[in-house]
Amino acid sequence: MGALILQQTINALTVGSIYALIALGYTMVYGVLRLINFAHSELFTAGAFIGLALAGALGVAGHPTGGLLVGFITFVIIGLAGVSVEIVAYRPLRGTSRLAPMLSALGMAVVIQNAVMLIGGRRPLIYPSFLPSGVIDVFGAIITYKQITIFLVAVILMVALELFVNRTNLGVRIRAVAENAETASLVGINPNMAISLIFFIGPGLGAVAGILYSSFYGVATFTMGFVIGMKAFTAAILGGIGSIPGAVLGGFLLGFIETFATAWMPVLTGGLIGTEYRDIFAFSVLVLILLFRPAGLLGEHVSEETIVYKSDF
Amino acid sequence: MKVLHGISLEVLPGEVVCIIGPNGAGKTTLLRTISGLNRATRGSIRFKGEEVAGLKPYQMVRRGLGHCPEGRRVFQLSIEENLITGYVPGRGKSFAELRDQVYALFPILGERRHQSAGRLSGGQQQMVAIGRALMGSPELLLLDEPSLGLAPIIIHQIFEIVLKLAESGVSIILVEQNIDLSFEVADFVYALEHGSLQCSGPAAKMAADPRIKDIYLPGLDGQDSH
Repeated sequence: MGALILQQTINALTVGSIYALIALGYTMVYGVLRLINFAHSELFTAGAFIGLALAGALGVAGHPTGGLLVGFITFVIIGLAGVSVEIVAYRPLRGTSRLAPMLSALGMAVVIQNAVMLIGGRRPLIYPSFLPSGVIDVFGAIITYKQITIFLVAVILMVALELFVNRTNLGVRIRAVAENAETASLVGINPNMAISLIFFIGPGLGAVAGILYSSFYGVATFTMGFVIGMKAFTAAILGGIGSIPGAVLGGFLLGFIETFATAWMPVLTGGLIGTEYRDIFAFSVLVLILLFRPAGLLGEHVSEETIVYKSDF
Repeated sequence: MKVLHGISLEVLPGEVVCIIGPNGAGKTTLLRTISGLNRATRGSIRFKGEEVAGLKPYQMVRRGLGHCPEGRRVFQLSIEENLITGYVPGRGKSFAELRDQVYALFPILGERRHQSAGRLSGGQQQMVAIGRALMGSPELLLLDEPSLGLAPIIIHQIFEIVLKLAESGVSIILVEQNIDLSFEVADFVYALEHGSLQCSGPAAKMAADPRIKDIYLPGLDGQDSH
């Protein structure tokens, strides 16, 4: 029993790490533009595919150290793709309705997903793991090195992001733009600089999550971003969209809810609800949080005044 | 919507120009247009001899414009972080130098540098807003109703700083509803109403102008809020 709970905790931390990394991208973009970047989940997929291509090109498939290099290059490539998405699909629509950029985001998601399909193919691809193999037995629970690596990579990236946003001058400027882009411009900050940086970092983190995810499950498909993207989005809402600590909390919390609910519901309902209902828990959380606490756990009420689609900054 | 009509205004180095007028006269719009937040449909804006109409606000700041917006709009960051947001590298002075200057002007800010600016009193927030603008080493400073909602003693303190800045060569455009105060500090006064210039002239001369008394009786639109 104890081993089972420990095992599920480890599994929850693994999947939670991935959700949290992706959720950061949603929350950061929302924080500055009040926009849900629906293309984010497809950039996650594209990241996994680019990682795969790089592994082949560099001949480092299956090497953890090569994985570091692949992760870094993929971060930069997808980061630049994210910046381009903003410039092409969102920037021209500033100052219009709030619906227009959202539709543009959906369109961008379709475009990227189809690009991945055309280049990578329709069929699931076997993914070489960049994660070290091996297991540790802790009180009867099996912890794989893969899980440990995923958790560590996620934590390192989150700590780095936290330090960047809170301890550097550039981070201060980004927070100023997130709070009020117009005022930020009035005091000398180029809001587009901050917005581009957000669109570099968010998708970059999502791309690393894509590599980790595919490495863990050993497969990559061009449609895989949709469900996991929705779940990460749920995690961002759960934690309070716009809040960076919220995305991390929401990601891990969702990982726990999903893992434990999936494991225990079949037992509790006598097999009526089986493990195939896995996805239902995350989306039930989404519905509940939107009904009862739309601002999320750590989110604050956003006043309309801070919405940036207004003036010419 | 067209708010301002044919306004002509000039500020010389070290001069304090005051714009007065009732609510909705277009005073804030005028400042926002100078800063580049609003676009002028025609006419020209020249700063240090260069045409600057069409530049973005942050580009204006990098050329030496400071803007303390209406309502102060300090960031929900610490005082020192607010100063970081206003710092413009490459305008001569280092961050530490400028920051220490701001703390010398407003010692209370230095004492509370790590406190969140959002929780400060209105007067202290105004000091943060002015300090933040000073971090860009402005040659022209726009102040949008700095006295709004503040206690007289704080207003006095802030206006002393404003005059000190002007003495050091910073040009100032001040928007005020408080007429008495405006005439006290200004070299030149422009009176706006319904988006057009009603009259303008040196402060001493304008103070005696009967039109001012007629239209802008302090008792009618003194320090009301929005």
